[in-house]
Amino acid sequence: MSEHDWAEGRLDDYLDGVLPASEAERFVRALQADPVLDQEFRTADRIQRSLRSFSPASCPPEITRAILSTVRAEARRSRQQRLAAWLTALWQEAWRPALAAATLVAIVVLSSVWPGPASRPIDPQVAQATAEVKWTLAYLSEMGRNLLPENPEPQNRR
Amino acid sequence: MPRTVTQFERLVHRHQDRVYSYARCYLSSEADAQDVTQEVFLRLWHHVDGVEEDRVLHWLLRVARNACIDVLRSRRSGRALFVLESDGLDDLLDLGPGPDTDCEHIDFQDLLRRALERMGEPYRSILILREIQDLKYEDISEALDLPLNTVKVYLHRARKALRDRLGVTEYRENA
Repeated sequence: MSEHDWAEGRLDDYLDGVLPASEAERFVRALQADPVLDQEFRTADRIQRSLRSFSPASCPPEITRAILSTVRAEARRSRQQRLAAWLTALWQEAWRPALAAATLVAIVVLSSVWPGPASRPIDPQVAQATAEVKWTLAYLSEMGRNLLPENPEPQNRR
Repeated sequence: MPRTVTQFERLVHRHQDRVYSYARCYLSSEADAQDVTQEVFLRLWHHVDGVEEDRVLHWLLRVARNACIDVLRSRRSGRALFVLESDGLDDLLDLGPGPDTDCEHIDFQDLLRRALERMGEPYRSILILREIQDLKYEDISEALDLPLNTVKVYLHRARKALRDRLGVTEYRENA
């Protein structure tokens, strides 16, 4: 392998700065001795410097805003969809019997706690009439009992 | 990976410039680069579960590259992008005015930019990622899903092709 070929094969490494020191010295000597190689090196160096001067462009802020607003809107929609799906599952699937049981318990508890119909105050006239009826009935009953003989005799006995 | 919008926002701020810059260099169009950048990050949002945290940049660059290729395909249907069989560097032989024409007025950087635009894949991506974005070989290898040595070989060939083409121009400039 000629010195030219050897040096040309290491041109990239030299440009990248990864050529070992001993080889770098040999490479520089080869450049000095070989005008064609030197020209190639200069071109390579210029290309590399020019490419690096293509300064990386910054992403315009409106693009960042557009990306983030789209993502936020999608996240919001996704949350709403998840909530709707959860509620549907709650109603349709495993929670249905639990929901029915809870409803039943609630009805029982409420019915025991709920106050019953309040006892109506009795009209005094009605109360008095009721009492009179009771007394009358009691009187008639007593009278009837007194009219009957205590030891009734058989009818054929004289 | 980002589970919340806030985490995703941090990723966007961390990587947006690199993705945009890559697309901008690749496509030489601000509008197309903006579209590609948006598309890439929205895809990331939709695939958050499939991307590992420490490989986000590689994933983004890979998706960006594919999106750029799609844009180029739509721009110029029928023109091969993956021209590895013919080594993807043939187009550099025709960059407009050649050494036999009056090209002193042509700016070296313009010529270099045009050479880059005409370069096939994966040479173009490798040059952009290595020479412009100063990415490590390992990262380029991950991003383009190519073996490390293949990346080095392709980069060497791309640099050589640029030298061969642009060296003539430089020689004429110096003459």
